[in-house]
Amino acid sequence: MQNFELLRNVTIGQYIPTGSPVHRLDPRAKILAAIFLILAVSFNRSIVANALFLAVVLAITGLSQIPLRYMLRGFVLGLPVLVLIFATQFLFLGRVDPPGYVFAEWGWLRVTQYQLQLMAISAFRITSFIFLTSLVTMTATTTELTHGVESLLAPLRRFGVPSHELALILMITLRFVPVLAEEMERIMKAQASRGAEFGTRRFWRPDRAARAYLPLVVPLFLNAFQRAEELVLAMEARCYVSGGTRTKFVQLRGRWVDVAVVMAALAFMGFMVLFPWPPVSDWLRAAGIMR
Amino acid sequence: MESAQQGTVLSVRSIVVTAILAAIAVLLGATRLGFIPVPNPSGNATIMHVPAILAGVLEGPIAGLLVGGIFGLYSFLQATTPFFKDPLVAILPRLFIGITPYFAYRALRNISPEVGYALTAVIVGLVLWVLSIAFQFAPEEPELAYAGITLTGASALWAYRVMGLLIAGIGLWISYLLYRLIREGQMEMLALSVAAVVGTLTNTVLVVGMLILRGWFPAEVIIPAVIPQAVAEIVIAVAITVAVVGAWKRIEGGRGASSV
Repeated sequence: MQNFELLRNVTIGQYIPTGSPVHRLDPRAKILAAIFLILAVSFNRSIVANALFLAVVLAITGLSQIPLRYMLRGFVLGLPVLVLIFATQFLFLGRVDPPGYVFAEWGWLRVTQYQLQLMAISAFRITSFIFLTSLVTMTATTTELTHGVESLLAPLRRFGVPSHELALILMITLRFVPVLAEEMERIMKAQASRGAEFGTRRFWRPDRAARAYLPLVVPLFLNAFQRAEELVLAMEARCYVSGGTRTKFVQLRGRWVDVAVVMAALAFMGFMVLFPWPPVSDWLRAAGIMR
Repeated sequence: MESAQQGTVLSVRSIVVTAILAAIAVLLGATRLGFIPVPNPSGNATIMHVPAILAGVLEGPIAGLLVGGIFGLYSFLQATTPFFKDPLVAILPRLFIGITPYFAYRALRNISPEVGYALTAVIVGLVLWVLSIAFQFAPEEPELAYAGITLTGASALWAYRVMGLLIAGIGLWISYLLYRLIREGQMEMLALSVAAVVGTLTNTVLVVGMLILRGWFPAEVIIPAVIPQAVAEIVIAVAITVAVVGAWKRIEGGRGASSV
């Protein structure tokens, strides 16, 4: 029966209230700072810069007072794929030309400068991204984030960006996930009572697995459309006009700390992009490991 | 006056349908119901992109873009697969999943059977062309190198021929399916199927392309690894798209397939 308990597994964002300075930031500041930080490291191909970035992210994590085991959960869940990534990178990236300095060569397998550089950057970047995205979802509730997105996009209304509608879409999405999960449970039970099997999928028969999905997924979609029609009718009956001027229950108020944090993130991005990062190969040459 | 002008971008229906399809995408991801185990290295085929395809087909490109975007954002923030923590892999490619099916659907929905037959003939022609190249290809020293394995001489020639036959087989099967659909006058089904294929391929090709460009996986490894998964995704995406839209729009199915 455990298979049917979908609601328990549905967690969208795991907000962990600790009341830390990071939690108290305005959601807009959090979103902007996260975007700047991600941009700062996304295109950086220096090992030193990526390592520094990881250190900064870890420092913010410490500041947020979120227990490390929560942060590491995302990391552990992705570990098998991480191992796969590094195994394939180790096996195949050595063959990519130009290899740079070749550290070792055993027949077909090569250990090259290019390969090690890419692997190091991947490791730092993946770890920072996992921590950073966990930080966003753990220090802000989904409602806060939605209001933040709406408020940030509001100036773009002049250019035809439907900021309020986008926020409404996000709200309805978040509201409907549990409703549809309940619906899905009902469908699964209905199909199981008619003899459908869910738990006994064998991975070497994907065609069977696929066939077992259709009687689940198709009613789910049709049911969702039905609910959508009802919601449209309800909204139109209450004279909802998309894009009308409206007031809001939740008012976001930024403080000077929020502005300072966004400025700091922006400055950090500029620093990451503009600073002439020393290549690690220079240090390795100085140490005599690499010629 | 200003507000009246602004209301034209998204109708109430678009807002609601977009939101609910995005909710299905999130639900499929959160409960792991959207993953179908396929025996291949990258693990699972996914149907999480199907809501974006449906949004594109039913509500237009903007809804498709938004559902794809929310799906991408969700997989960026919540996925446990590490490389989806890269926004350029998780979000950017997903924006297009709902857009390309819309145009495929629009382009094919109202074509006449004659145009359909002509397109099928073009595919058959391409198949024959590939076959003739594969079997006439006989250089002095044939060589086929892939991922460090090099075939030479007759074995390389046969490898080319087998690849040609495989591509030709897939092409002929596709053109047979198209021919059957056109003969039965099911242009709507045809357009939907092609839209689902296009949407799935958009997802697979762009995500894999970004994975290679960003250096997460080398091309020689991921391209063969992803093919069984892509085939499974295409088949099930077509099945779901046709079944859902067919049942929702009450399209007359040839074999009454749309009863749920």
